[in-house]
Amino acid sequence: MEHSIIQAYIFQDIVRLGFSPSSDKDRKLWLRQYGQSLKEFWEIDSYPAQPSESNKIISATINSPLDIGAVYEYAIESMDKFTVSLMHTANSQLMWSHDMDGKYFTFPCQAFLTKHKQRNQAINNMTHDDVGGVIDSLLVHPAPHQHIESPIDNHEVRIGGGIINPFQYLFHLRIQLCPIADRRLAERNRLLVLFENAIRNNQQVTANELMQIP
Amino acid sequence: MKRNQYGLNLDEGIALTSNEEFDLLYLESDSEVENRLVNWIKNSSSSVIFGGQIGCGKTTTIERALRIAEKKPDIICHFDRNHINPSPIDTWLIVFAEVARCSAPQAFSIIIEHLPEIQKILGVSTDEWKESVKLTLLEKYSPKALIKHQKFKELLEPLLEYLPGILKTILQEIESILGRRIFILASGVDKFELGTSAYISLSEPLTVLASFKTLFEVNAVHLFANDRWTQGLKKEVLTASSSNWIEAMLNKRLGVYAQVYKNQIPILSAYSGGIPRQALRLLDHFIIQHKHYPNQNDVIIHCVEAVNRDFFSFAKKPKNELLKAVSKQNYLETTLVSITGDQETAMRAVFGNWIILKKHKQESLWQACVNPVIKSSFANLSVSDPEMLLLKKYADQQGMSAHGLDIDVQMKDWQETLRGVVDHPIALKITEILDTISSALLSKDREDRIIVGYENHQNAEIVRAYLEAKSNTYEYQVWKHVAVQGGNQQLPLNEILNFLADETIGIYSIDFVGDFNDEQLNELNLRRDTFIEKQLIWWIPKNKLAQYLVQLTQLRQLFQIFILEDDISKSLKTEDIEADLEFMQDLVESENTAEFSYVSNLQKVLNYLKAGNHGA
Repeated sequence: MEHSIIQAYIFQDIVRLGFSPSSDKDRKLWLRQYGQSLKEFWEIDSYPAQPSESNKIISATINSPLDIGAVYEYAIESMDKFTVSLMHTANSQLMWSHDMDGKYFTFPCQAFLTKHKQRNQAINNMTHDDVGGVIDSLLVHPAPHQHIESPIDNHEVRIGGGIINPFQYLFHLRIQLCPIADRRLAERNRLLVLFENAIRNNQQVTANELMQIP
Repeated sequence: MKRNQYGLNLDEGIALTSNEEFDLLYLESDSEVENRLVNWIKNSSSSVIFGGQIGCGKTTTIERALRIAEKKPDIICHFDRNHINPSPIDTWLIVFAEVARCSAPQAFSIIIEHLPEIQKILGVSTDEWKESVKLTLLEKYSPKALIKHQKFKELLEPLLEYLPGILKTILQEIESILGRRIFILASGVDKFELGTSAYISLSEPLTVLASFKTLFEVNAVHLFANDRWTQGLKKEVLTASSSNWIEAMLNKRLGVYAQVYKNQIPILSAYSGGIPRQALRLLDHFIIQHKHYPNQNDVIIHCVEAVNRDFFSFAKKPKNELLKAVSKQNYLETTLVSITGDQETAMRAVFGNWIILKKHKQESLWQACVNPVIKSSFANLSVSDPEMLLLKKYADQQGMSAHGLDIDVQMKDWQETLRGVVDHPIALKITEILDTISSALLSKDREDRIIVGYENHQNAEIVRAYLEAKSNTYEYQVWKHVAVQGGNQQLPLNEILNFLADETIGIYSIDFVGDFNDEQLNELNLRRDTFIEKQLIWWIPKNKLAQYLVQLTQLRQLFQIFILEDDISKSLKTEDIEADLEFMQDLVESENTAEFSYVSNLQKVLNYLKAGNHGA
C-alpha cells in the first residue's frame, strides 16, 4: 500500500480523534484546557484570559510568547467557521488573519477515504515514520505555511495555510509560537506516540491528554 | 515555588532557597563578600556582622556561602519570625528555644541542668522535645502552641537578669561537648529599625551571641550605628551590584525570552540602582505592562511608577535636602546614620532604600546614589544621569528619538506623576489590578501578596468576588476571608497567624477593621518573612492606608500596593461579565470546583452591576 494513502488515513484520523470535540461542552473544555496549557508549555508568567461566549461565538485573546507585545485572537462559531488573527500590539499592526468559512467548498477528504474503505489495511501497515510525517505536516512543520517577516522576523515560525479545523489551528500555534526548541522537539515525539496509539485503538484523544507537557 | 527550566522565572524578589532555584537562577556574585563569608564559615572562630540594604541579596548570599562551605549552623535564631510581641522576654525565648532544639539530640542534659523546669514544657523524649520547640516558637500556630509559648515565657521571666549568664554557660558547655566552636546564625536582625523598642530588646541576647561564632544578618544601618553589641566585631557589607551583574541576573530570569527584551534590560538595570530585588520587581511589572502599552516608553514609565508605589508610597520620607545633597555629590557620610535623634534623614534614607550605598570610599565615606525610581520625583534629572543616558540610547535604538520618546518634555510630566505616586498613589481600575497580579492570583505556582486600599466597603466586597472568580479561571483556588480587628485589647497578629495556620486555604483574604496601633503594625512588619509562602490579599480602608504603610517598611517589600477605584462599574461591563458566564456556566458540575467558584462569584458581580447602586 502506498505510503501517501496510509498517511492520508492517518491525517484524517489525527484530526478526527484529536481535534474534533463533538459537543458544545467538549469544545469549551478543549479550549479551556488549551488556554491552561499555554503557561506551562511556553514557560511564561501567566495564563491567558479565559474564553468568553457571545451570540454562540467563543472567543479569546492570547498573548503570544514570541514577543509579549503581540497577541492572537480567535473566534470560533462552529467547526467550519472561525477566525484567528495575530496582532502586533506595539504598533497596532494586524499581522495576519486566518479565516475559514465552511459555506464555501472544501475538498471532501473524509468522504473519499471512507469510500476507499482501506482504513484497516492502512492502519495495519502504518509505520512510526508515517505518523511522524503527518504530525509534521499537520502541526510541527505545516506543508503550506507562511513565515512572519515583519515586525517579528523569525523563520522558525511557520503559520500553517489551508487549515480548516479550528482546534488543529490553535494547537499548531501552541507549537509554532513556542520559543523553546527542546520543547518543540519533545512535543513532536510525545504527539507521535500519543496519536500512534490512538489511531491503532481508534480511540479519542481527550483534551487533557492532548495538552500534556512533554 | 515552581520554576521554569527554559522560560520566565519571575517573583517578587524573594531569596533563593532550593537546589533547583540555585541551579537555575543563581548568578555568581560580583562581590568579594561571598568568598570572605565562605572563608569565615570555614575558618573563623569569632563573630561577623553581615549587612546590606533591603533587597540586596543578603539571605541568598548567606545560603550560597553555607552551601559552598558545606557547613550548617548549629543554631539558627530567626528574630523576625518566632515571636508575637517583640520584647526582651520574647527575644530570649527565641534564643533558648533554639538552643533547646540544638540540644535535643546530643546535649540534652546541659540545658535541663540549668533550666530544670524546661522538661515540664518540652517533654522528656527527643521527639517530644523537637515537636515542643516548634510549638513554642509558634512555627505551627495553634491554641496548644500558644500555651507552650506562654509557659516558656513564664519559665524565663523570673530569670530575666540571669539569662545572659545562663545562655553563655550552656553554649560553652555545648562547645566543650562538640569539641569546637558552636556556629550560630542570627537571622532577621536586619528587619529591626534602629532606636525602636523592638530593636533595643534584641541588644542583650545579641551581646551574648557575639562572644561565640555567630553570623549576624543585619541591615546596612546596623553596621554604622555602633551599638554596644556590634563593637569590636568583624563587619562585612554587601553593597549594590554592578549594572552588568543586574543585567545578567535579569537575563537569567528571562530565559529564552531574554533576546526579546535585550534593549530594555539595561534600562531596568539602571532603575534598579543595583538592588536585585528592585530589579526583579521592575522586571515583573515590566513584563505585565508590556502587554498593555504599545509605546515602549510608557511601559518603562509605568513599571517604574509601579515599583515606586509598592516601595515608597506613603513611606517615611527622609528630608529632601539629604537626597538632593547625595544626588549632587554622589556620596554619603555614614556617621550621619548614628546621630541620635536624626532618624529623619540618613538612617531613614539608608534603611528605607531611598539612598543606595554603592562602594566604600574611605573611613566612613561611601559612594552613594539616590534610588533611581524615586530620584525623578524630587530632582530635576540631568541628561547625563545614567538612566537618562540609557533612555536616550534606547530611544536611538528604537528609532524613537525624533518623535516617540522626547525625554526632556516627557520627564517634566513624569516627575509630577512620580511625586504623586509617592505622596498620593492614584486609584487603579479593577482590571488593571487583576492584570498586575494575574500571574500569581490565577496560579498556585506562585505566591504573591497584595494590599488593596479601598474607599467603599461594598465596592471592595464585589471586587473580592471578582478576584475570587478570576482566580478560579483555570485552577481551583480556595478562598477564605476574615475580618481582623485592630486597636487596644486586640491581638490581630495572633488572629492572622491562626488564620494562616489553616493550610486548606489557597488565598487568604484579610479585612483590616478598626484602628491598628503602631505596635500592632510593627509586629506585622517584623513578621514579614512569615508571609512569604502565602498568597495574601489585605484589604485596608483608604483613609488608614497612609498611616499603616508608614509602619510597614519591611513588610511592603513583599507586597504590592493598590488603591482601588471608587466605582468599579467604570471598568467592569455587564456584557463582558455575561460573556464570561455564558462560556463557563455549562462547565459547572459540582460545588467546590474552580468552575462553580468562578460562576457563583461572577454572578454576584453581575447582580451588583445590574442593580446599579455601585459607588454609592
